[in-house]
Amino acid sequence: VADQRDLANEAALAAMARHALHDEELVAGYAANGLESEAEIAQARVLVDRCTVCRDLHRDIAAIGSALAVEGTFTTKAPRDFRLTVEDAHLLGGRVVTRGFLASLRRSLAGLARPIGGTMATFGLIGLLVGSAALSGGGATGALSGAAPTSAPAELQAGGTQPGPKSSTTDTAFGPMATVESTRAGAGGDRDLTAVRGTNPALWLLGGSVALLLVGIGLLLVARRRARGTDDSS
Amino acid sequence: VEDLRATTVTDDPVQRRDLILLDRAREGDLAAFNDLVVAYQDMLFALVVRMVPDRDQASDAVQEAFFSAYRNMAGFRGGSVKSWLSRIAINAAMDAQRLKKRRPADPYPELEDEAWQPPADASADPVTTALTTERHRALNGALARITNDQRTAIVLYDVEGYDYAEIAELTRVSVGTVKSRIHRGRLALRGLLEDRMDLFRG
Repeated sequence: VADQRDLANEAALAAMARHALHDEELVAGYAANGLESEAEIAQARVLVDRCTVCRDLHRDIAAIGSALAVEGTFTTKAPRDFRLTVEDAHLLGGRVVTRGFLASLRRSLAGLARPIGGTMATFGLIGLLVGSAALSGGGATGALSGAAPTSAPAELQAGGTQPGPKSSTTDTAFGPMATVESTRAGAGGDRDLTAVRGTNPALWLLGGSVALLLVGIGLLLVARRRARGTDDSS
Repeated sequence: VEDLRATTVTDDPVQRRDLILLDRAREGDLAAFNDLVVAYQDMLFALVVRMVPDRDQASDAVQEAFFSAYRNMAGFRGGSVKSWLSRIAINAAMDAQRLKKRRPADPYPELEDEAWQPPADASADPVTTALTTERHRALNGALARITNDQRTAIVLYDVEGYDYAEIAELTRVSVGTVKSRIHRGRLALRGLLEDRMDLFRG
């Protein structure tokens, strides 16, 4: 028995001596399936097959790997509450209240976007129709009797000048150009200026209506997009 | 503020919830951000305390991670909020490790093992549960004694399931260095657990 024991010890010592030259990291990599090169894998396999110490190492490291994988299933509670206070948020960004205010303002405006947008678009459309009718139907001054100054006929009577080509110029000219044309009118300037003033409301009404319509449609689109986003999130 | 829901399409309800909360937080809604904190504080603490085995330091690191997340919300470019927060927490943990390295006189204290809960498995018999818990204690004790770099690599690879390339990116080293740290770390663990390997041999 003693001889057998000695032989076993000698064999173990010999194995240890041989193992001293072996690359343990290679065996560890092999156990973790972390080797990529075929040569390294083959070398590690030879070590594990032929060296008992390497074989034990391989087995142990694989077992530790399995135990580590189970570690991820253990849970623990955070020892304190990590929620940020308003003071923290101020220190970190300094804009939390402002941003919160802006956010709530944006949400409130988003809620109003549909009614306001609808109203604006409606008024824009009406304005556009009225403006177009005013321009197309018998000249701006005549058609816009409600909106334009009523002094035009009286002035025509007072000046005694027949409306001629100059007045047609004022029908088509707009803004500064119309003013230039009217100042060129000489003696009939007063009457022409009045005519220009009479034309402006129709054109301004048209321009304003188009702007109103576009803004209204924009607001409606924003409200629709917002509503879709809310539907998606809910 | 970029609408995250518009840029990131996901079917995962948790991820959708996270994106909505982050979107609101970015608009200045602190309560939405705090909802995210509540959702992830335990998970992030578990991750960080494995890398920094000192509950106080780990707590500070997690708090710092949430501060950093709040500061850098605008930089979030879509994807998983959980992954984003995890990355920030890993960076905070590595900062805590570096701080610890400058004060090596204070060793890591013994972990409060009672704070960890084994996986809830009603079918597991008490012996198996006890063995799992004992393994966990032995392993955690050994993990606390290997180097920070090795522990970080092992925790990220074996416990958290990141791949080599992701760990290399997170820790700003090469893939080869990551592999070497993992393999050496496992060897070191085996050396530390030599007397208790019967627990692990099945």
